Amino acid sequence: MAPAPDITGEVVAEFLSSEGLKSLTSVAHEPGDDGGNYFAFLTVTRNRNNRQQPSNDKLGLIKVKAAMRGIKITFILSIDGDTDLEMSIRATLTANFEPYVRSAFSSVQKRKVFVWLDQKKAIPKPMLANIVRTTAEVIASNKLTLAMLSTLQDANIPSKLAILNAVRQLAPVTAEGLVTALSGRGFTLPSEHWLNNQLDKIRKTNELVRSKSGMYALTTKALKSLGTSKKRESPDISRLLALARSRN
Amino acid sequence: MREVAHHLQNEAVKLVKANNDLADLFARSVFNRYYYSTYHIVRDLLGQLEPQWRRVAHKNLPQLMTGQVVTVLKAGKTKASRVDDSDLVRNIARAIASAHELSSILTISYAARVTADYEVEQKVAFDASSRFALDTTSINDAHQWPHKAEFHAKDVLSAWHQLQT
Repeated sequence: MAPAPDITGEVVAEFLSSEGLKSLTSVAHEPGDDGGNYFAFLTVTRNRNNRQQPSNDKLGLIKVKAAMRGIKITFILSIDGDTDLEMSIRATLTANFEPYVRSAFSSVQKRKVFVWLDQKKAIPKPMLANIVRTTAEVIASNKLTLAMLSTLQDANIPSKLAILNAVRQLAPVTAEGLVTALSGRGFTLPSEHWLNNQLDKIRKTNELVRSKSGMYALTTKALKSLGTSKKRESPDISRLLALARSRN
Repeated sequence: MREVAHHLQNEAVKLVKANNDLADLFARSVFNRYYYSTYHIVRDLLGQLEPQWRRVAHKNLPQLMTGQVVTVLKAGKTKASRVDDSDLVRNIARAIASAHELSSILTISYAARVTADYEVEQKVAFDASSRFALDTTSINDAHQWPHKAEFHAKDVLSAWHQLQT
């Protein structure tokens, strides 16, 4: 529906407050062909039952009512204390684990906190456990719970799935051939020894076979679990193309 | 662009006492620059995932992240779990959380940019400790956008890379 020409930011703000939104701090208009979009900035709080105030249901209803008047609204919620929490997590971790943690980020979703670490170097397991415990405590003091703490791996090491995909495409292939293929796809391989270890592990789960001449191929089990697709990126087509290339 | 933002940020603070109107204009530009710096990081990421995504309009980026990008990652997660690749399953789960995070950073920073550029009556509020805020967005938050976006982009890219055949 085309918006009435007399709609302005003030009209939208008035409409929102008539709908009972008290914590509205401002409205910003993003121009557009269809009358554009209004960003409504809102601070949300929690009531005694730990429910968001105003609730998302209520905000959704207001959006629909606004749409009926030809106004498109996007609510931007700022949760009281959210920024402070991230800052205290970051301060705590960089202060206590300075050799490992460069920075930390967090995000609160439905009272659960997701934390990401920007690490300076690999963190040994006992140290990581320590970090998790400390983070959980900071979060608990804000009456929230830690949902996930994760670190970013800098090294782009091929996963089991990536290795299986490469074998599927190139089989029969030697470990050396796999090293070349995987590096060519932009993966970092610690060493050929590392790859041999991975291949052994996969062999033990009956997903790979190794011939006497040191060639690897997938088992039926692996092929079945990898599945296929009928799209352009189908693994069967990649395999055909790889075969054609190897004949040249 | 982040350096430009930071430079403007310092200038804005220096100007507060002498000329509040000018300080306001500088401060608004800071939010604008931090948004664009964040936007470029996300656009680069999307271009690496799928070249045609480089041309997606600003306002559609958040939905692209939580929509198509997450769909591909989820399909990859199913594949990884079918071959019992638990490390990759975990990495993809993290990348999905990062994709949602990128979407929300974009939504918030874009809204702040729109306020900064179009809502001139909404003035920047300076405090005594040489910080300022535009509506509910503090300059501290804005300063973090590109840094966070870079971090989450790496997360998404590394999981995505594992799924290429």
